[in-house]
Amino acid sequence: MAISNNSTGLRPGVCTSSTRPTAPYEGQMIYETDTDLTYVWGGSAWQQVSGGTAVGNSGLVYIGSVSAASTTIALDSVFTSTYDNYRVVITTTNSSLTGTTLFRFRAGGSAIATSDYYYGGSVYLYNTVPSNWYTGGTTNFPIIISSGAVQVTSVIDLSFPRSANRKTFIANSTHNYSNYIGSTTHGLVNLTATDYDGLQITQDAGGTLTGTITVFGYRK
Amino acid sequence: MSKITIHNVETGETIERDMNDDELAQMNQDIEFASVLTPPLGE
Repeated sequence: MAISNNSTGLRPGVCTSSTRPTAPYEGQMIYETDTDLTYVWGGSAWQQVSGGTAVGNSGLVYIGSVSAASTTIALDSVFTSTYDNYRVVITTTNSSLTGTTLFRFRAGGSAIATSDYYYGGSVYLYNTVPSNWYTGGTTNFPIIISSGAVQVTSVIDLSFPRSANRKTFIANSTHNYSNYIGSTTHGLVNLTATDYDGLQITQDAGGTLTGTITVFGYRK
Repeated sequence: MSKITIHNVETGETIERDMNDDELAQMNQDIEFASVLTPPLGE
């Protein structure tokens, strides 16, 4: 059964944290006026549901994702005025060639390849001595090496992709190749005064990447 | 053939097509740039 009312909305049982129902039934929903929180009775305890002023300004909100096996995998219209900060999770399971996965911003349906990408951080690749990636004025951000059926995960916290003067992010990535683990940790800045609305990944070697990009917004 | 997959979150549309000349030119930029960064793997 669907319950719908566009003019008044649905109102669960209203109480306070000290006047909760004493014999709740499983699935019963309440709203506490003193905490501004919503709960559902799970059979043995009250389970907090998101919402209310106590939790409404925190947490990640799913925005969108794309899964593909392509040379370039892109998400458009993902950065909006709704959020200032974003979490981007990139997972790839295969790349047809050995190379570096590269990140670019997008705007209006096209990649932004101006030489305004700056970054610095530490790199550990397999059995090599730890080193650094640092440079500026490049046309993209390097994220991590991938090769063949390598499991790769990148978690990126991105601030203000729509700002004219501050676009910074922190990227942590790791991959597993045979018995070796590689990882990168770096901070990145982009100086282009463009209102970005999307992102893409590609590989410097031009290989086909198989993977998923998922974007979440940090609730304001 | 180099392929691009683009998902638009606003419209929900996903398109898959061959990369155009501009996108391929950008890819060549990437190859020149990142060859310095990519070490041999699995040794």
